[in-house]
Amino acid sequence: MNINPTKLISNRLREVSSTQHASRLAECTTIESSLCSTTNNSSNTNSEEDDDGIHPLAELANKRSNNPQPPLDDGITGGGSSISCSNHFSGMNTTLSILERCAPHSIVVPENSAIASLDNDMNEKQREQRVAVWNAITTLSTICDEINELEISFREGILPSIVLFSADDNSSEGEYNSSGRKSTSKKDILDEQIQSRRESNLLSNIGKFIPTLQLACNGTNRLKRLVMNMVMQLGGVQTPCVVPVHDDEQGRQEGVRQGSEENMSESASNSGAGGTSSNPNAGSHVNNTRDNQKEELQPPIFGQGVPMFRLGKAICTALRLLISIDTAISSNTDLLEAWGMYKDVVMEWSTQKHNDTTTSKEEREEFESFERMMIQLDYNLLSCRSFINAIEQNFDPTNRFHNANFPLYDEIKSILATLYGQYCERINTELETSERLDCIGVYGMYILYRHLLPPNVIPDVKLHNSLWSVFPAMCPIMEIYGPNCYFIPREFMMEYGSYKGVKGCSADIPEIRNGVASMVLKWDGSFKVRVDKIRVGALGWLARADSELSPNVPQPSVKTNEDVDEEDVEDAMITSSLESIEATTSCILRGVHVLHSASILLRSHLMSHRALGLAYDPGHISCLISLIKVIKSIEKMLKVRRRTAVVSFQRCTLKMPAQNILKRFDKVRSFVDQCSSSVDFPSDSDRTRSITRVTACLTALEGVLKGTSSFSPIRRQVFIFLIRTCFLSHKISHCPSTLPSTHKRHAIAFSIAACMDTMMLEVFTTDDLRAVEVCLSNLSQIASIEETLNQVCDCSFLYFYRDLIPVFVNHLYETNLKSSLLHDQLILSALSDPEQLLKQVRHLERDTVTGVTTCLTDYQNFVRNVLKEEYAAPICEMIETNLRYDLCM
Amino acid sequence: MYYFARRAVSGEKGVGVCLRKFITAPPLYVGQMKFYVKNEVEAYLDKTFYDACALNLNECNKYNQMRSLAKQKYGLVLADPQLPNGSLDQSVDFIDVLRDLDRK
Repeated sequence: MNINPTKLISNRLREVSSTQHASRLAECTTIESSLCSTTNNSSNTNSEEDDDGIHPLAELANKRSNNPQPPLDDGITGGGSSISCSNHFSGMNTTLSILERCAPHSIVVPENSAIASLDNDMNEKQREQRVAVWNAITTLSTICDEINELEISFREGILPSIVLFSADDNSSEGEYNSSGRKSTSKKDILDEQIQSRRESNLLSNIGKFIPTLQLACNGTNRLKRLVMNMVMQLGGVQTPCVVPVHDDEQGRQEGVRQGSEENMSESASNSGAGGTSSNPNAGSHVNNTRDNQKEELQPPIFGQGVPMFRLGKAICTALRLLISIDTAISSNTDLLEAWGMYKDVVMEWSTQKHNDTTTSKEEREEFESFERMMIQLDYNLLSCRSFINAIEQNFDPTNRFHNANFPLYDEIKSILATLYGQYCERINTELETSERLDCIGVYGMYILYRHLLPPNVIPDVKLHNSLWSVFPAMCPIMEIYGPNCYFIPREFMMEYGSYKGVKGCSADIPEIRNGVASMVLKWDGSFKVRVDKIRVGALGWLARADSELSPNVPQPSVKTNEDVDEEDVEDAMITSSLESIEATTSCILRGVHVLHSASILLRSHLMSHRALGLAYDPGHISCLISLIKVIKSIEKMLKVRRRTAVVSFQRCTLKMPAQNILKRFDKVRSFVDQCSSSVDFPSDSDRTRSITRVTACLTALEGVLKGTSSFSPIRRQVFIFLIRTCFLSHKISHCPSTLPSTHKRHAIAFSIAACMDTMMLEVFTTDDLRAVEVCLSNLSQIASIEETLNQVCDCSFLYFYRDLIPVFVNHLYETNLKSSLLHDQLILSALSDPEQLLKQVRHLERDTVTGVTTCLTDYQNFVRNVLKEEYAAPICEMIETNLRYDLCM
Repeated sequence: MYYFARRAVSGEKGVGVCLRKFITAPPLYVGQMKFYVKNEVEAYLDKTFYDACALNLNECNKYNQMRSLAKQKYGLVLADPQLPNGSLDQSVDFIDVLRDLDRK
């Protein structure tokens, strides 16, 4: 009799679990329940099997038995005795696809065949409009991409350097500091010798720090200009503009064919989407055809109602970076003190130079340029006014928006309200990723909105109320970088945009801080429960991932009968492989979500207590360690143990969302083709313009989606703009009423459109839009999984909580005494992460032989000493005692 | 010290197994640094036994026994301290040797 092995294992598991120890049983059932929940969430394919009474662990065990890789060596979380992830990772040859680096215009502008199609069957205006749409999308994508690049530079280079300016002041390492250097702590206020040494160190450091400050200053200046550009683009694409029109037909055609690639990028970065960039010839043919130019009022490229959320997000990111840099500088008192001293020294030196008659002219000029640079740094960066300087710009220098009666502030308000709603919906849920940080930008945008408001317009009370109460209730304080660089939304609102007219929306700073502290303490009560939930979820995921994430798990075989055709078998095979890919995708993305949850909880708990001066509850140490273990075990699973699975999954999965998106737009393409072939409207009509716009977007969209299998951020930006433009343009042609600006309102607009034109519902439904959004989100997550993993799994922030490291190690030892398995390496792997951070600090002294900073050496010594004191010493003492005891016996 | 006191008093049977787990475990990695618990324990016991022997040579035998026990139970290889085995009362007194030399 053939017995199904899965059922057999299920029966055995049930029998075993009935005789298990109570606590073990409880854990088992909890993991089981988590497995069941993920199974139900991820797919419904297993529902039939569940009905058969198959234990979920048995199902996993069966899959795992097909996997040739060795089992987890030391318990379900793994990694107990193996080396850290980074060491493993460096030796491995399996790398994920490198994101492409290419100019945006070469992505957006379709292939030569499409450009050539411009000549055929198309009048001049339509051709111009198409090129204008491509230009606009190129411009907006370029700007967003630049913001992304700047964000990475700030996150990985500038912010850590600023925060770690006084990193060599290792006073917090206390008794474990045995580096041999004399500590120059600022705590020894009464010791003059120590203070003078410290001041000398600070002066020396700030001197070496000037290049970093210049880099930061350039970054903030660029961000400031980008903020201005983006805000202008917001209105620019929705308002008509005066553009030069060329009568030189030949020059235009050449410009389209030859100059498009070069000039689009120039026009994109110089003039922008909503301005004069609508003409791609602007770059090369302006001089030649200057005489033939005349001015014409062109209709807006996109028109009103196109939701520019992506641009809004980019503005938020830029403002967040400016707020971050201001906060990082203002919170680093050492940096400000050193800068003050440095300024004094330079001033003194300047006086000497002026009085000194022997100084040559060249030297004097050189010194003057140095002084100018100092003034620039002082004004733009170290005065901590980057954010304010960015939002206090004139965003309508040519009165374009004023003349067009375009309420720019209203557009900003609409975008910020929508983004705020979207972010708040996801905070404190399993789907939360970077929403908390993004909300900082939303608050920055609110201040921008307040600045843009004309004096006779009252600010939106509801919006203010919501910003004051909703997000701060969920997240009263959040980390920007390290424990000293944080953001308290209410404090920020009081500082930059107080509104005393709204009741209950104003408070003093101490009152706000007390409120935040009480909220943090209140949440401490549920900390353990939340950690347990994450831990159990992670354990369930680890068990599932260990079974499912294998490149060569055999597919379920399809029973081949004589009656069944070969084609059916093939179809069944394809379906099962697609299901398998989908299951793998959902499994990996689920792991990333668990990672996010653990990382957010760990960081926020550590930071909130440190920033508010609250003591850590000793009972929470085990929870903190659990969270670190969760992060590192998932990292290990995705980056080391199942690396090959992730690599193969990324390569085969990336094209799926792209294909899905294309598939969704097939109907739109046929509809538009049909419309354009049978168009009987005047060429200036809104409908014709909309159809032309949609056609242009579709052509570009197809080119972008079919172009490559590597989806860099710039490519994703292009998608989003294309889809938004395409989608809204489509609606413009059918819906003359006020157009929606949020996703939810799309449904309403479609309903209206459906009432007016029944054909619309057949073409592109709200479900289609949602499906496309999901595909885009998946595409984004899959394409950037490597960066996400690096970012979320990075525990380098533990450097700022060095005082907790001895407690962690002590706790590890204590746990190991009771456990039969060692889980040290996961924690030690987390303790290794600060090394990467410390390698980035360039202004500190470096060892001449090894090339590493003394700060890094000090940290390594510190960890070694902690291990000796807190881990090895108790073992030594116990062994000695036991030996003596045995001798006496 | 807490662990020391607790374990020393208890003298449980499983303690040896528990401790052997720490010693036989692979090295711990922190960044590029390796940390061997076994080496640490050996260094500690070497130092402690040497200091104790040097203070009181009468107990050399006792510490030699403890060394062999450490090897037997935990696989710890402890270095020989190279100290004279015994005390002034039990072996040749070098002062007497010097006196003899003077007489000659």
